[in-house]
Amino acid sequence: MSTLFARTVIRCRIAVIAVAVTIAVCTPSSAQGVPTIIGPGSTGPQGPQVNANAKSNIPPSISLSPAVIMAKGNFSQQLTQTLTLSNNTGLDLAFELVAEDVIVKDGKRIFVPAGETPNSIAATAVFTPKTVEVKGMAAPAITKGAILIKAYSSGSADVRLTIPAETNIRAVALVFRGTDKLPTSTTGVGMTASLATLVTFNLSDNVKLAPESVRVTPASDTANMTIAQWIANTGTEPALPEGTAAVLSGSGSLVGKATFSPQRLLPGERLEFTAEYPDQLRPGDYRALCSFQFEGKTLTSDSSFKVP
Amino acid sequence: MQSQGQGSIAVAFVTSPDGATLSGAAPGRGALNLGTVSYSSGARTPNVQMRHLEGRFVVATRFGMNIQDTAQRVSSATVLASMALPEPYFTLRLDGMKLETTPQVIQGRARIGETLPHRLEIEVPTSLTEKNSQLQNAIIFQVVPN
Repeated sequence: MSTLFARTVIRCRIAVIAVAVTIAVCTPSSAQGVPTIIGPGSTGPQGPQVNANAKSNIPPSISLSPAVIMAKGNFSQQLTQTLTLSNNTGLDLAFELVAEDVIVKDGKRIFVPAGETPNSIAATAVFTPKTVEVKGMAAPAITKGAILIKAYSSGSADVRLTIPAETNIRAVALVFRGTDKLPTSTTGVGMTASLATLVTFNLSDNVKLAPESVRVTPASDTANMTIAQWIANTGTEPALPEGTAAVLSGSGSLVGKATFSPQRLLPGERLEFTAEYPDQLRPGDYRALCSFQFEGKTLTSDSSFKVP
Repeated sequence: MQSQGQGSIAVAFVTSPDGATLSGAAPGRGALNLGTVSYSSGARTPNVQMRHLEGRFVVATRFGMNIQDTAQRVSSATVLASMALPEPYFTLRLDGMKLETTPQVIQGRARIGETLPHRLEIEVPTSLTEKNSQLQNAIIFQVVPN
């Protein structure tokens, strides 16, 4: 009897446990406007504002341009770039502007807050907003501030980076980080999107790529033939190899070509480049000849294969 | 220093066919509503799953993230995620990875041009009562072109 009572109590206790998980998502929806800077201590963005000129055929999104900046120069030099973020949503969106060093550890990219890595490039970043209306603060360098980009508008910021006299870092992410100041539902989890521009630096001529063996996977009933090759960046500089695979017959004549998707390799990275060959090959002996171009150099390797 | 800028990267959240519906109260604003969930009666919203564990239950759904580069100069991106604030009661997992306030890599090579499915799980301890069961936090996604 006492056991039945205890069970009933437990059941009642559990019944009141409820969680409201309403998740407000910034579904990003475009027009022109003036971005506003908000600084430390200022009030956050106001509620959603709808622009009557909003183009309904543009899917709600936020976009950042350029996506990638490839810089070439020397140590101790400066780089100044303008980044533009377009807010194609019906909401005012606030972003912090931050820089992070991008390093490769155990073959994987890691994003390190500015200053945490010796000779950090990110630590030198100075963000200066452009065409902005400053609210209660004498702007320009706002490394600890934020940029508020109104609905259906875009905002820009100049960023200046100074390469230290000595550094092993070759990439930086310049992040427009969505803040939790976004208007979301009162109960729920807001989801905010942040976008970054990747900046890579080539500071010497030590660009070295180490190709591994070429692998050919024959076509099947459900998949095309693929030609793949792992390439490691063993130099000190980033590289963006662009490659093609040529399929040669046993007599050496060209049968067809396939293109590898370009992939950026930071120093210490190793990636597999794959090209799909869409045509059917007749039975016979072939050779796959892969060539990659980067920084004025060409890397060539090949592998023989047979189609039964 | 010479430099060359390429492409532009865009991101949008989209409803997943097997996830909770993204609905908007105002243009450009949406909500992925998992509804009210209780240990005893479960989830009442379509495409919201719930499973019971000892001393807690897990509410889960899917949503999509679309990353685009109209100039098609970038083929993949790194996606990181973090919580805006420390979360004392709930445990949030994205694609199986527990979210912290420090950004973590969720996908190292997310293909650009495709809608990538993500699974959000919220672990709720049964020690919570109606008073402290409201979840108020934000997930911050960070997309960095590769």
